[in-house]
Amino acid sequence: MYQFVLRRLLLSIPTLLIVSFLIFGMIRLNPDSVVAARLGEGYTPEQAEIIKDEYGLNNPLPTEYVAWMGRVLRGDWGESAYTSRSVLTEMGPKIAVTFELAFFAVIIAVLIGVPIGVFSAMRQDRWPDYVLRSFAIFGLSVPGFLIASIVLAVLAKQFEWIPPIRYHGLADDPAKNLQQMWMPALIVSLATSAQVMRFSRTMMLDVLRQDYIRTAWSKGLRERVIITRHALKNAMLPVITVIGLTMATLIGGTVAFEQIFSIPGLGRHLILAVAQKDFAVVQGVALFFAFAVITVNLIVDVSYTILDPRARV
Amino acid sequence: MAEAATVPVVLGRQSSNTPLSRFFGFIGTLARRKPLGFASLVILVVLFVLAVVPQLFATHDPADTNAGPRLQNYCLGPKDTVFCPTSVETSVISGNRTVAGSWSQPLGTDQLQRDVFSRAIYGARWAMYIGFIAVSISSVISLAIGVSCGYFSGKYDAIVQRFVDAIMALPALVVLLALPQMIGHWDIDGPLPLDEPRITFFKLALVLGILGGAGGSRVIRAAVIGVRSAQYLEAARVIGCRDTRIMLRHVVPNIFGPLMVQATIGLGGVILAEAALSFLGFGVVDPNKPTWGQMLNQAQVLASVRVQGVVWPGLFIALAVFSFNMLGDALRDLLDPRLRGAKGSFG
Repeated sequence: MYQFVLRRLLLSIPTLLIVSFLIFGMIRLNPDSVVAARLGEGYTPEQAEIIKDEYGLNNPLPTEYVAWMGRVLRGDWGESAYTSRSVLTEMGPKIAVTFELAFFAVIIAVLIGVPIGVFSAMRQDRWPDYVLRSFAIFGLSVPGFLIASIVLAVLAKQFEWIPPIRYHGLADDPAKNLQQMWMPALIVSLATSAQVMRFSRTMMLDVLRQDYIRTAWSKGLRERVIITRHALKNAMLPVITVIGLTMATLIGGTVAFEQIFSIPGLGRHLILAVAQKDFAVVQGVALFFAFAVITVNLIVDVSYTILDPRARV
Repeated sequence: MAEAATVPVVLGRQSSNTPLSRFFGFIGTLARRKPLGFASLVILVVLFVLAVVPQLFATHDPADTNAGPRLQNYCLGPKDTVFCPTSVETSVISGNRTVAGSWSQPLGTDQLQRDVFSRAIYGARWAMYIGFIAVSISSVISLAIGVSCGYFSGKYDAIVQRFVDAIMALPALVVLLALPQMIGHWDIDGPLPLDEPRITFFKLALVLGILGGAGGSRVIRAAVIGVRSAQYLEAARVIGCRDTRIMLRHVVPNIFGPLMVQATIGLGGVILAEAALSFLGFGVVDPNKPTWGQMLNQAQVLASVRVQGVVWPGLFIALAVFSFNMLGDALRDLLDPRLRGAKGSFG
């Protein structure tokens, strides 16, 4: 097993290198736009040269990439062109906010999705199953940002409530923070819970057809015991994988919600940086998102091997 | 001989075996076995017709800023029902009024006095345009990567999969937000304020297609690995077929099912991605080419006094994505041999 973990760990290194190169190259597709972002429209060629030197745009891409990668590994992710503060220091608190939102959303999605999925599988092809499945596909189809803006509109009209502008950190004021976060987290989680529901239903159906479940029925066990003791344990393993993967997509997927609910997370940070053409920040956020996705995938793969004895070869 | 004639169990009608009749046979099976999937197909065909000839259905020019008074809500049914609420908003900013029904403007007008119904109809065109281009690109990419990786495996597979991993790890929305800014002056789709990010529908579809192709190749690869040890491939190898011929003539037709499912669900995903991007204000901004996401973006400002503006384009997005998802699900159940005989496949 250790061999597998080690192998998996080593395999993620080339992936990280490639993804960082893609992000690095993307920013440098058009050096002129970097210069224009710093200097505005009317600039002299000499000024442009100075900026290009500063950003290392005159050197060949591979050389510059190696130098940049060295700085990134040492913790120097460049500085914002607007605030002149280190990209990494600016990102720190925002990472925590986005992570909190994604984490709450995943918890809610599991609390909603797993029980409904299991129930739907138990009543396969009867009306509760149809109703619940249709709801799930509907939840997958209606964009979350649409639900969010409709909910906000209705709340504003009926109760004259608008999302608070000021954000309270979880550490500073837990009560106010949760009050602020539960609704965005719930709306973010709708699509995810539909996904979790559909997947746990499929897995549950798979398990319910197994021989050992039939044995359990023929022993005369009650349905509750069969479901909780025999079926759930086996059905939930792949579900855990999917939950991990949705966590990875959610970390990069809360952008629209942070914008709607004015939550100062990474997504809002990114939108602002894109609008301001703050290249160092965009690069930093993109790199962090990619890193988070790769890490979560790694954790999911490894934990799967630990949890499932069959995968331990 | 009498028994032999009854052996082939064809999904549709027997006798004729041309591609067209097989296609109609399959549609018939879909209608019988998956009523919901068939209904989705009908909705999608309607949307497709709207996309091809929107001018036949739209009652106004989508860019016409003089279709009627600003922000009207037209009655869609009897008075004092949900279709025609009598609550009159007297806000000066919104100018929101509810007036008697009019078949030429069933959904009312927006803040620039344009007809919402006509804009939504034209929105179908751009949703389908982006969807089909992006999915064609991603299908080609995922086929090329997935089939070659699954077929050759080994070192080639290991190396290519790292690239696939890397592209899948790129957060799609970040790339879509950042790319037009980084590339700078892309082509303009019509008149624009000069400081807006510029991106054309085709370029948007291209980026979406490349990003989607990497993820799709995983599914195709898994499907190819599933058929790799099949006897017909061994037979083809024995009679001396070259690798390219085996891949094109024997592997690809056998993974057609997963490819179709992938493409159908992908279409919904692309439409959703475009909507999200436009909603954030980073999509294609061209008043002559309305998209549903762009309509949402413009209506959102007034959403607190006029929810209708958000509901109508949202409804079109949801309908299109719902139908693609439903159809994809139905196709998966019908085309996946493991699920073919399974009970409980109503959707």
